[in-house]
Amino acid sequence: MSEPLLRVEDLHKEYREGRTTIHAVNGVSFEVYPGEAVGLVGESGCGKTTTARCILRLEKPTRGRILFEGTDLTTLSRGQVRARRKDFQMVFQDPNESLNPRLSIRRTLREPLQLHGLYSSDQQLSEAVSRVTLEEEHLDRLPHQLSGGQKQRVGVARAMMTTPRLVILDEPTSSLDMSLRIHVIVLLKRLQRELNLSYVFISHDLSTIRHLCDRVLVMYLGRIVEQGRTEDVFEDPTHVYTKALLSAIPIPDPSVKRSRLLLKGETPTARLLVPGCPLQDRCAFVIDECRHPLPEYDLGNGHRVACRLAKEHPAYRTVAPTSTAA
Amino acid sequence: MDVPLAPRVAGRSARTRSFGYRSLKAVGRWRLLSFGVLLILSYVVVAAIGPELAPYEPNATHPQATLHEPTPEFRFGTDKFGRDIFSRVLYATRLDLSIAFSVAVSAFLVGAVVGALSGYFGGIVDDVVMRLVDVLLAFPAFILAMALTGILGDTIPNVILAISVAYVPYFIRLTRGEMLRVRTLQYADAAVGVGNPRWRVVLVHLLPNSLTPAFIQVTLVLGWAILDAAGLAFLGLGITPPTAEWGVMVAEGAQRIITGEWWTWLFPGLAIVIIAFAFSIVGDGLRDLLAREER
Amino acid sequence: MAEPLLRVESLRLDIADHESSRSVLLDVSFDVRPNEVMGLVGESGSGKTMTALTIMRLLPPAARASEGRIAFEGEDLLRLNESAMRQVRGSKIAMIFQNPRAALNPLMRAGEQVARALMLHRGLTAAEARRQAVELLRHAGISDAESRARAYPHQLSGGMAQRVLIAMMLACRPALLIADEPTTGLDVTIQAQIFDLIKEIQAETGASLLLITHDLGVVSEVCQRVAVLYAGQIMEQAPVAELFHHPSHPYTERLLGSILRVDQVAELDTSRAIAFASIDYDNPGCRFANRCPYVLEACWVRRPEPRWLAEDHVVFCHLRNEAGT
Repeated sequence: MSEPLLRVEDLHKEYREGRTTIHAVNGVSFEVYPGEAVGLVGESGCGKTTTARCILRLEKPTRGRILFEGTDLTTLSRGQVRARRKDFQMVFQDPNESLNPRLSIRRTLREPLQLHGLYSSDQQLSEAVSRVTLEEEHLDRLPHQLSGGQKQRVGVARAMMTTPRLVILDEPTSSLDMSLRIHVIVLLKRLQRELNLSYVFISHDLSTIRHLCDRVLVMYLGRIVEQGRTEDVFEDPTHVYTKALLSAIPIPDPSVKRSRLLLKGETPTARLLVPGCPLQDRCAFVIDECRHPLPEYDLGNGHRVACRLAKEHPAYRTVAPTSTAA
Repeated sequence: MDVPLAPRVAGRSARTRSFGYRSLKAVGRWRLLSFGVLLILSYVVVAAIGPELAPYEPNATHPQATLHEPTPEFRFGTDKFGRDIFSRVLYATRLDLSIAFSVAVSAFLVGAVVGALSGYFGGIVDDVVMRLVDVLLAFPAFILAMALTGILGDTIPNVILAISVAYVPYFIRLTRGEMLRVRTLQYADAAVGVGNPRWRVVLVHLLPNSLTPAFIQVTLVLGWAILDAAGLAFLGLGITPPTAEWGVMVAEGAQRIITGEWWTWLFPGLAIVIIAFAFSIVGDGLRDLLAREER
Repeated sequence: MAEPLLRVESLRLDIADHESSRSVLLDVSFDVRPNEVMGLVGESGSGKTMTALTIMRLLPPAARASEGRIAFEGEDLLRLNESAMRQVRGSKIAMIFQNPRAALNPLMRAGEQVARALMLHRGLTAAEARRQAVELLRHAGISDAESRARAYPHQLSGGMAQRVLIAMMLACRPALLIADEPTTGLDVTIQAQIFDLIKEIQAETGASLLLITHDLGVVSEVCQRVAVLYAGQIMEQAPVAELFHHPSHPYTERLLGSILRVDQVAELDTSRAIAFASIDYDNPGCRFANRCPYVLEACWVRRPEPRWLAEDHVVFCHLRNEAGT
């Protein structure tokens, strides 16, 4: 396999909140290969957005390495990171909030080019808007003159201006109506192909992940609990959390009847570092073993699960050499 | 089937009534706002061409007509030196408005930039700035301006400086507060993400979006600055006789209250009250207008 | 067929601002039968929340219900006076909202708010109400009900706050419960818990539920019948299985074509989805006309007559009317 474009190694991010420490991200490691779309899925507070912000150096990680094309971004100065920003971009969640309300679309799209010395003519801007199926007349509008779907397209266009290698998409469809969602997903897929991009797609919406991503990482309380090829994880979820998450999503088809795996209680805040499985307090299958540091079990094809139940999986062979620290 | 159900149905509810009432008030507010703007514009015109309109030089004396009642010749009467009060009020408009605008603009510029930087970067600098602001705000602006004028000396630039310093904390507070809100919005991150250096993030992306509350404050400060400058002059600080200035003139006229020469203090006094009133209603009107747009 | 509990008939709602007036609801008719879960599904701008607020008579001041009636227990809710309406709200019709924390009084402990509802609607003494409030909170699936009863709304998570609202609703024993996107903003695992609770309570109390949502998955799993709303007009109304298997309005068909399912991968095909365009509220005919792939001349002129395809299945579409004649 080729070299990974992005390699995140043992990423930690802690926040001080008064006297307590919040462990938002707690030992996350993964890779993104060129041309690949990786889904990062989890519920609120699982640390998926913090992970993305650390990768983009919008926040400084507490610990860990972020290797982008072999360079550890965490060791670079602010200016050095800035020079590399043309290679990794982000699309934000809320289209109503992610565009500067006082800048025309033209200025918003021109800025990344100018900052990296790539601007030559307005031709580039026309191409950028047509790429996201907007019209040239939209260039001279202000954000509030566009609809939510159009604004989100501008957000996508802005991220693509400098032809980056990696684009991180933070819930780009969650504020859009379902009839718009599919258009944005199709657009993102097309752009990925045309511009040979790698995506890290952050979402709580598993159906979107399923249709866009090649690989998926399931996060809970700051840790990756299950990862693998999208097909493997969705067809054969093995961690109790992944199973519960998938079974909780209502299926828009009355002929499908499913049993639901309910989790007890609510997601706790990541204040205390407990050894063992982060799900232990909500899991119906918890035994003593789950309260001790547990390894990741490898089910082949990169399908790795941090749950003891994986040992009963037919594909389970050996304990993976790397174990997630607690 | 165009039965107007709703009036009968909802007419009893307080909500509908309050809507009608609020619309009436909204129209009233519009009128008031336009009226205020009109007043300010007429003052600006007078400030611009006042000297052309004035029949006499501000300090020209008419020894034969001291403390003369208002007549067609001396429309606002004359003072004890026989100077034409009408001409002096006209000339003073330029001075007082200039002071007000200089104060508002400089306090706004300094306050907005300091407030924005302080709010964006936070940390120790922010702590120091905010404690300083607290200290300054502990004094009423006028008392502070008085003390500063006393220290700096009685010249017009010093008056402007003193009053500006007194109002800078207001602008710092407002802009900082707005900056704290704006910097958490996603376009702040987006600006960093596309590769803006930090100074550009603050100055190009966040500062322009943090200025709305400070803009409104400018209008209010314009009015207060006129009152302060005149107040200082009235107390004999800052601008001193024989300068044609409304406060100075009121101070001189005040000696005549008991002797009955009412025109000596009334006309400069009215000039102050009307413009201060105009700035205040325009400031309030703008605040309402922008608050509604935010929604 | 049983007499419906609630019947909304040709409801029209206008919202006016300084310049213009717009009908956010036009000729909206549907009913909710006893002991059933009726869905009202639509995207943003469809007027689904406005429909709920009109039934509850909690409209913003600029809105005006200018036509139609809302029949509930033999009375027209639009014509009730404010004090009679207050009797209906809470004790006969209860509503749970999108943002549960905003619907609670921030200065009052959760248990106290439930107890107040009990005192108001069941005439209990304060001590008795407080005791039963804890019971109801437990009933609403709050495990440590005693300590949660002492919490203030800001100390509760969104899911927990929604449970408190459900407990308050239990205190009132309403005949009709309106739930407006009750799980928006909640995590899916919590959403599943809340819907299970709502269904359980609905079955237990025999109340009817009008569920307002944008999520067709929720409709499919929770509702028995559903009305599809687009731009303030009802497009189609049918039993859930009928709607999913035989969508008859182009909007319904396209809406179902926009769905990305989590349990199967399909080739993404925007040609089966709804065209990317803004909502046309001004068309005197069918408001979906500007995005409809099968648009006819008549769609720009007048609103289609209802066409009954089965006893419970009605569609408003010129295409179906032409095909039928």
